[in-house]
Amino acid sequence: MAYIRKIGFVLNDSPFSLGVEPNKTLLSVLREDVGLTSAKDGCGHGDCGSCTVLIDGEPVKSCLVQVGKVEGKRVTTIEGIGTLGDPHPIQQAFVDVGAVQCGFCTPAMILTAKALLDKNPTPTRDEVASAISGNLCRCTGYKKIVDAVLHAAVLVKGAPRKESHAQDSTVVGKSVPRLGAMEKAVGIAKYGADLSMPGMLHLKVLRSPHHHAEIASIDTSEAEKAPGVVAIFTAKDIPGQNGFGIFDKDEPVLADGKVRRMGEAVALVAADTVKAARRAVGKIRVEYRPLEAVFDVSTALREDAPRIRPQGNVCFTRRVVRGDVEKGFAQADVVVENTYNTPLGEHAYLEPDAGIAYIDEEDRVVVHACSQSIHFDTREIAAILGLDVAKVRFIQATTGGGFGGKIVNVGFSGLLALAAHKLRRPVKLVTTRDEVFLTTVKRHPFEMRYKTGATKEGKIVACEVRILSAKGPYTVYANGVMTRAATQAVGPYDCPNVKIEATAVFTNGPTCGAMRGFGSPQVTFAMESQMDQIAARLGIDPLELRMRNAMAPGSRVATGQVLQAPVPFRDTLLAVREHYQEALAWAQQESGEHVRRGVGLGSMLFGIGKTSLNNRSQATISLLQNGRVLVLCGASDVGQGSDTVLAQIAAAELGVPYNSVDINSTDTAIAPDADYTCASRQTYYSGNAVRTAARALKEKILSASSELLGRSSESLIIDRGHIVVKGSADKAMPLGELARICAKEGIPLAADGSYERATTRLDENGQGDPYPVYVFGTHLAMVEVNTKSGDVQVKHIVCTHDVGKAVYPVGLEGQIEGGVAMGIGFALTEEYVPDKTRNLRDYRILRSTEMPEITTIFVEIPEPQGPQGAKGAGESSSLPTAAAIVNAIANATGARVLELPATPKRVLLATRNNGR
Amino acid sequence: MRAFDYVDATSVEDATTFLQDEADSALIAGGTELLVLMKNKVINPRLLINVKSIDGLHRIRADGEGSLTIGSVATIAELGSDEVVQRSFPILADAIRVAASPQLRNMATVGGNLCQKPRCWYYRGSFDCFLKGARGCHALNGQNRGSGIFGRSECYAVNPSDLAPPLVALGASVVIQSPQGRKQISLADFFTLPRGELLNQTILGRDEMVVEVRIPKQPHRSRGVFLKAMERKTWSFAQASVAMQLSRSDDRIEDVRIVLGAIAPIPWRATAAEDALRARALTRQLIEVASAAAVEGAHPSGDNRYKVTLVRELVKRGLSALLNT
Repeated sequence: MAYIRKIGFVLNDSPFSLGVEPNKTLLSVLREDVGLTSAKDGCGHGDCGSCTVLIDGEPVKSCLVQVGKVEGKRVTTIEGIGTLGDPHPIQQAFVDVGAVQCGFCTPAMILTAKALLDKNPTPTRDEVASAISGNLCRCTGYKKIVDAVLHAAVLVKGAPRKESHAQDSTVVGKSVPRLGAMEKAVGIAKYGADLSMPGMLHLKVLRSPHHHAEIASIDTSEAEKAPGVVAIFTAKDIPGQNGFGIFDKDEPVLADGKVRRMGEAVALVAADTVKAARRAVGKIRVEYRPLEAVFDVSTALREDAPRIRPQGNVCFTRRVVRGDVEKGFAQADVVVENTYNTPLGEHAYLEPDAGIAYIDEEDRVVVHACSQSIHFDTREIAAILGLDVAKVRFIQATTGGGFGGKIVNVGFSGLLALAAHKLRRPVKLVTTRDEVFLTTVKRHPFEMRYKTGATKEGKIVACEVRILSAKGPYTVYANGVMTRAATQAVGPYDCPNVKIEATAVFTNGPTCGAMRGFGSPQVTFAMESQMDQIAARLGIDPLELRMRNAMAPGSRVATGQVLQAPVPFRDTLLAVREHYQEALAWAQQESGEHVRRGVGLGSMLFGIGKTSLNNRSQATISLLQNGRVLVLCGASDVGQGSDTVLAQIAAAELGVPYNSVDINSTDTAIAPDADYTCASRQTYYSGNAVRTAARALKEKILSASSELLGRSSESLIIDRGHIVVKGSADKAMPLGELARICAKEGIPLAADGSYERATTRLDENGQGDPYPVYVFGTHLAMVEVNTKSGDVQVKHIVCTHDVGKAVYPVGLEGQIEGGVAMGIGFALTEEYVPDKTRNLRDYRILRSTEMPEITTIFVEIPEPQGPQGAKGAGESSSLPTAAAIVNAIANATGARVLELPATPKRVLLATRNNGR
Repeated sequence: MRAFDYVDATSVEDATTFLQDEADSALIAGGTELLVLMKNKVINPRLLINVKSIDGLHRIRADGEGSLTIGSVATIAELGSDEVVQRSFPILADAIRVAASPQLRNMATVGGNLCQKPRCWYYRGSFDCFLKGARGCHALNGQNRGSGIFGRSECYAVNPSDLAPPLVALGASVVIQSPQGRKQISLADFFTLPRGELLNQTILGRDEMVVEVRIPKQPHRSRGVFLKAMERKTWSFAQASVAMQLSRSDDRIEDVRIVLGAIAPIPWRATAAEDALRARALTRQLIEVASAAAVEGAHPSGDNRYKVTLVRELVKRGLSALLNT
């Protein structure tokens, strides 16, 4: 029996006392007993720092502070330093500088920064990076965070704020305050784990300890008798279809008769408390009959391999064939052949999946949780529950990062919905960091055989690629990932003869799904490595080789699609050229014992939108009687900033101040379907939907005003929230007044917009037009390689990206910096090893002190079809970084690393094999 | 974490009496190590005895004559920002600067750091191993990248403390108290190879606690270096570290201590290297000899071979840094 102890401390300057169980941490007391949820539980083991609070002014990780430790101390949470109406200068600086993306790490970062500035009011960049080195961030690459702390240091001294542009309407291309950023900075944004309801039950999941096994029996009788247990669900309790997925509904919500991977959900417990639920999970008796498990492609493809799925172990193959590779190789003067390997990757978003579910006043099953695909999730959940989709509602809670991992995460949200539906009570499910690592989808590991031929003039004439991926037991996104990988396997180069085959193979390893780049970071690493080897063989400068093969208007991609202007790939190469020359000079300089410097390039193309699929986005915009504009568009913002971009587009199209625009993108009962947040598609597709709706609304507004004012609608414009007669300085009527009059008259001031661009299905040779538009980019990496230890230090990344138009420049820059950080991780440190990688200590995402300098250059050539000329940029930044780094390692040492991550061991081995 | 009770000790006597009376108990100071062990169910004590509540036990006192007494519950951050430490024992300040993360340094204590459990993957995971009372060591033929290359016993896990090597190099001692009384022993003797019935890397008994760490005055013209090799730039346990403290008279090395970290179950004195150096003048040639001597007798067991090179390099680099000082 737990003891209750009284403890007293000063919380945010007020004395506080309460009775607690001593085995609680300060974090759980703050969140569960006090009700302050700004300190986040990202890992529970002191690895991520999201739980940081101040004790007597010093930052500590509250998940490792036993609550008794705070007796008599001063505890400060983010609530204690500023509020929405009266933020602390550091909070202001984080918002103004663009340091807030998903926001999950933000309160902890700000508190850590406060403790630093209290002691050291004028820190250097290095001192800031070092002070926040115990706080992980997955979105920003830390650069904007360090900028914000330095900016805060001057704000504290009374320097003026940065210009916010919040009241402007011509905000496209201006760095406005991000929507929701201040709510995150002051700690009131509610993530899934921060939600609660009266009478709520808690869920815990029993998961398979086997990679592959038959379930002989499940005995829940003991567990059902355990105190506090309300219900236990297994596969037989699923009323509808026990399967979900995008291409094939083959992944069960709860295992039915068989488990095919470790961590697969077998039973779900609902109980009064988390503890009771956890205990009951331990009392469920499952009898498994272990089956032979298969993890690698070659074993899985053997004739006698155990069948993981009834149809066999080949999940999906995409072929892309154009021209004649044999003829191409016959023309080639050099042929480079290599096999490349990339590892399983983990998104490592900082917010473990969490949320609640309940029945609402219209008898709908409501899931209120993290997601990046709310409308799709409702359809999946409806099928699982056997309900009409109108009876399911998804409300996206503030989401702490996704990077693809929270798309169709129905293995999580489906459990919430099932329990709420069956019990008709509110339920809550919060996954632990270990569960996230064990159960969520991973980046597909690729084995890639590349054969590339070029003429002595440096023209790439043939490319043959074979890709194999051990993708785990369920399809998820395999068709999409293989198709994107295949269509983009030859990069941004005009190659007349290609033969590409990409196959995903069922195994009993972790299920692979969508992760930022969707198959393209892998092939970009391989193709760009090929390019540099061809350059070396031919004695052509790598930049020059890329220029000679660069796609241009009229070029064909591997699928035969003809590119329409603009194709700003060359522009990205030209933009990097000067930096490249300087970097080469830098590499020649003295660099210390055993240290060699190198410079490398990586380039990429990326198709915007889901490959050859429906991508429709819809939006509705209304003018309200208070003069504000409400945008409804179900495009999930998971920290990347789509709410802000869509509000900017609406403000600019309508001519209303940015800060008069509100958006709801989170509630399927309100916001129309804007498809998933994936494939870098929201700015382009949902931006266009918003643009269309805004233009239609503008027409309605002008036509209504024209009648009221007795002027032609052509003579009227909307300027900063007012109807204005063209050429006159007088503001004829505020929009709010117009809306009130129209309401009385029964004239609706709302308009819908939707956007879709025709793509074509690929034929059996992978030929067709899979994407409406492509983006291009080039990264330059400057590295230092220690030839004795194999250690690689990235000193500087210069990245140039074709973005069409940077709608929200500071947000875009932050997103690119975060992509670079992820790219460096992919190159050097990140590798998920089943059974071994359990948490954020084992899986190495970059820390603040490990970030190089990053220079970002936007290439802005407006895309005619893009909203305000914009395209998309969510994923492109994480594609070419690894290639640039690996090419730089080769430039420094002669060593060609063919397998990622390029750990010191692999670098040393490569140096021994082919270094100089 | 399993349910437990919690008491605030009011004195060291109080704390050790609790330890003696309740067999299933543990001391908690900063808790950054203990709570992780408890969350991972490696240990599950019924009673936690808070020793941060003991009056004055966090104090760091300089006697003005060159020695320093550190209360065992002083935080690592407090120790690192202490002026005497920074001025007179810079190798300790250097070690603290690269230990853990800022938040952890603010909670973790000096005594706790010295009593840390190994970071071995098997010990921390759900495996039975020697340190948990079973036979044998999984690391021998398993994950042994982090395992030791010296002091092999029945357990291959290395001592993870960043503070121990510099403190041993400075000749520190610890004051230990139990209900039976107090004793002061050298810190070097505090650490021991786990073997037989001793499933621990220290000699600390069930009812004993570390009360103080004392650093003696260093000889005139004593200089030191601390170097730590990590897989990451910051916030990482050492792959190997070296702390050395050396004093010279007429250019001849008089007194020298070279202590290696993270390569044995205890802070490891590189005595052969010390012998090679003693009574000689420090030269490039001698540095080569001494750094080779530092790895004499190393017995790597698989994936930890790199540690041999690493140690030699660290010792060489450390001595080279002292060459012209």
